[in-house]
Amino acid sequence: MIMKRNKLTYILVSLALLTSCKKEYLESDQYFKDRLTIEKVFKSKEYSEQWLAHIFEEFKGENADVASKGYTPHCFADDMFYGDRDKDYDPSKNELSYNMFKMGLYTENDKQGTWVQCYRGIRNASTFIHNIHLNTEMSEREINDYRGQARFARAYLYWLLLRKYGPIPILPDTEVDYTQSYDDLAIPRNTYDECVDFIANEMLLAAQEMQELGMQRGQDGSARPTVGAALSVRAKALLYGASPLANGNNAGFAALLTDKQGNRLLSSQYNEEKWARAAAAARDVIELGIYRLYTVAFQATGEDATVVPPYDPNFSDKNWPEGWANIDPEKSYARVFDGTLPASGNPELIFTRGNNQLSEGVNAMVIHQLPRSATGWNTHGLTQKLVDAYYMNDGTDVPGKDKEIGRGNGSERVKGYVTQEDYEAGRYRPLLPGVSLQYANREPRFYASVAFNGSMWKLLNESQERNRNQQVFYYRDNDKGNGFNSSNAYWLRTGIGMKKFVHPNDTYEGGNNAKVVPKAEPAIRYADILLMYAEALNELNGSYTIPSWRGTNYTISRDIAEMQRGIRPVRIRAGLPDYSASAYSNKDELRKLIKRERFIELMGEGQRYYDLRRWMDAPEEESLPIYGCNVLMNESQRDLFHQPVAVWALKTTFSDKMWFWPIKHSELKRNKNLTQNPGWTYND
Amino acid sequence: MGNDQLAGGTRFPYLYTIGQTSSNVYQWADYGLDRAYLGMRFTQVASPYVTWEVSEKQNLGLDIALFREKFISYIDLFDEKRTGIYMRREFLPEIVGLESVPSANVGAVRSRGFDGRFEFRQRLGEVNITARANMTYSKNEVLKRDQTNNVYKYQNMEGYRVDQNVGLIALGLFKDYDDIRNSPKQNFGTYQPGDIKYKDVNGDGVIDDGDNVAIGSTRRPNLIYGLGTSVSYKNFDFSFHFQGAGKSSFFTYGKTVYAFSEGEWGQVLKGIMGDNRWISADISGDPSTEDPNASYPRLSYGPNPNNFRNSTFWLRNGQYLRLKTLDIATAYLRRSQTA
Repeated sequence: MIMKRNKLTYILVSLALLTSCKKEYLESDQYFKDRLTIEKVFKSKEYSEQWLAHIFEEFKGENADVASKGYTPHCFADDMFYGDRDKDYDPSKNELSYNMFKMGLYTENDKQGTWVQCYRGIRNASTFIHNIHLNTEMSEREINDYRGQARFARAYLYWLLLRKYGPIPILPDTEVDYTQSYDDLAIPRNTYDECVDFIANEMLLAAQEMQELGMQRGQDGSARPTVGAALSVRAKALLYGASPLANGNNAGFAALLTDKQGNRLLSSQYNEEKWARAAAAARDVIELGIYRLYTVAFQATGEDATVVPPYDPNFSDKNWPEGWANIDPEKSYARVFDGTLPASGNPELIFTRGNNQLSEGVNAMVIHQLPRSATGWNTHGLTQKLVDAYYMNDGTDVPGKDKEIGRGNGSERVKGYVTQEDYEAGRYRPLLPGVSLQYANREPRFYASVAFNGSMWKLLNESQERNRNQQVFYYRDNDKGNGFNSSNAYWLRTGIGMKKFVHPNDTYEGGNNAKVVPKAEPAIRYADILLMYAEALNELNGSYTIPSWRGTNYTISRDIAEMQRGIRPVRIRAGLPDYSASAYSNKDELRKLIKRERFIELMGEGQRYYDLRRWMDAPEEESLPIYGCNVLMNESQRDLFHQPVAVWALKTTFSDKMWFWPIKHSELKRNKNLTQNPGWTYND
Repeated sequence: MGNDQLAGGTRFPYLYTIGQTSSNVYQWADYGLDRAYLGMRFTQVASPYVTWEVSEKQNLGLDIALFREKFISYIDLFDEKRTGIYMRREFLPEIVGLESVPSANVGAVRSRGFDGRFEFRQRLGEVNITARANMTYSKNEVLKRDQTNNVYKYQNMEGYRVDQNVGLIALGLFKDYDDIRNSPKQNFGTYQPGDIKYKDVNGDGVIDDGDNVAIGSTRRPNLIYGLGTSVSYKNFDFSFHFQGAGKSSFFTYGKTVYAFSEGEWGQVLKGIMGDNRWISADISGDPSTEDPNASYPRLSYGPNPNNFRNSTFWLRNGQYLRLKTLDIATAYLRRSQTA
């Protein structure tokens, strides 16, 4: 009986199984219940965060704004050089050396990570923008804010492309349908103006989406985009669009940069209103009232007491921001970059990748700046042209400025050196004995940025007391190994090193990265926005009514008080008097001064390479021979060491193919409507 | 019609998959704090429109038996056009922004040819003769396939056969430095007399991948044939079978012909070491060893990208005819077993 019942159960169960099998015979959905779908991703806050993180992952590597040469040789122009990774000195290297970069000896395949990373991020951002509304774990305000962050990312990636490659294809708002034929996917390049308008409009939208929650992000979100970041990129894109490269460009190469139909991609018609729009956009950032230049309080005593600028009746007696009476200009500038401040605590940092810098970030720059005697690579340095650009501490030019490159005013370079008596009497602070007087009485940013021959390196993270506080000389036969050395690449080609980004604690003892203070990347800084504002206003003849980002109207014209609003903070924080009234009254004169101010203030921040191109100054500035100290001279020949010479080890030139980075061959072959930049080839 | 060689081995190509990265990809917080996230993205995008391949086949069969089945032949003429061949779309522009490769029904191929089998039987007294032959000939043509928008149309595979060999056209070996100076620049690394000289197909003054063209025929033979005969007389059997293939070519490569390409000692063919190689007169003391028509280029140590690449220099005809079997047999019976 029991047996029978078992048999019966068995048959029944089998039947049940059979019928159920039949029903779902061709259904496969049951296998995919746990499958992650787009709906599931965007319903979840955690997964949406991960999607956003992956978009921003594309900001790393070659897409960094400020990084060492392995990612962006573009951070090195006529201000700063790198001497290593040069197969002329080290045959084991097969990388883009500074000389190859500056001679245009790169190919259509070099540094092409930008293109693929940007367009990947653009697609993923579009997916985010069009699906985040599904989220059930965020409030409406949060959804808006996150959509704004993704929109910022997408427009920023377009901005990186525009700056490097020139006009690029702007894709539709939603993800491109990849099931189309190759012919239908052959999207041509837009004009420069169209790219600028797209970026500006999208950044405006992103700012509006982020305005409820994204004015400031605090310490947990210092690498996230904010309203200020979006408005700043908008201003930068508009300024680039207003600049001579894209505004009334009638140069020969501009006629060659066209789409397949022969339409010019760089506007040959000059339109002054573009400058007004750029100025208004910069003013939007200023009027947010969130940002200010960072300052360190005046320090009366001690070894590193404030070096007080010469008396100036307008600024010496007033406190910041009207004057410099209560600040230390040198420390104020240096600490913006050296890692003293966390990203969230730096009031002039508008956008940063924070610590998402991989292996070639700002810290990698610093270990290449540190001298050999601190186990650094001793290969990143500065040009004589930059050294000469720094003002004297009273705002005048250094004697002998640019004399060797045919731009001198007849004055001669200062002779002589700081003596022991000078030092003990406190003259020429902060110079130490033995330093050339060419480096005396210079503006505070000079001392924060330039590692001149005989400067002090603090190196406080060195484990041995005796290795700290070194005075480093770059003479040949230097007993600490910091001078010219024919057997390796680790010497400064110009005999001029770089201090910017270096924290007093930084050293590279034992090749240990932990001995370098972490530094947030200064991708966009308030000083840049201030100078952009003045630069754009200076170009105006007429008066324009331009809407602000909030919809009210600005009246924009070449107003001296408004230009001073941009220039003065930068000058005063640096302990320098404002420009003269006559300079303000002369458009050409002021333009030169603003260019020089950017050269100095933004050195090493990835701006100069692109500034020279948008101003169309690159053909002249990039092809001037690079001067520096005569590093073949030893200490007994120190007068000759300090007599600037054309540096034989650094080469530079400019040709039309160097306006924009080449587009790689494989992409041109896949998109028959994509046109190459002038001077570069289509073929293998 | 299905295809059992699904490109990429994706099981459900019409579905996408989304996955997480294995480690954090972006840190939002200041140094020393942690607000980092893993990344999430499509690990495989969907190919929503994939479907069956379509094949149109036309066959014409002809079976003939003559002379009381002494001669029999079966002939099958075929013409197949397969469209919508399932392929990976490897050449989407990067502006599309995908992180994985979708598939689609994009290819088309037409194949034509015939299959034939022939049989002949004859009995001459106690001698039985049977002869058989077979032959397959097919010719196909790529009508459409997934490929990049080549600058040089001759590099497009359309119009060529499936598996067509592609390479440079070799013009022998460089005689001397004057020969090098008077020839287009070859962009495959350094080269010197005794290295292979190539033809500048597109006439742009440099030899590079743009000069690759279809050379030889396909890797798979287009013609396969066999021929066999057996003769039996009383207890004796004799049979042989030849088999052959034609219309194919292949490249020789590897360390036996690319001498010392892996930078170490190894087996090399005798011809390379012997007198069939270009040898500098500085070494041999005899200018005649600098033979631009030698079968092997100069010896080099380690990789030599100029020489060791597909070209007519290394292309060999793949045709062959072999005697596959030869049987001689006899059978004898013991009386005890028949009893």
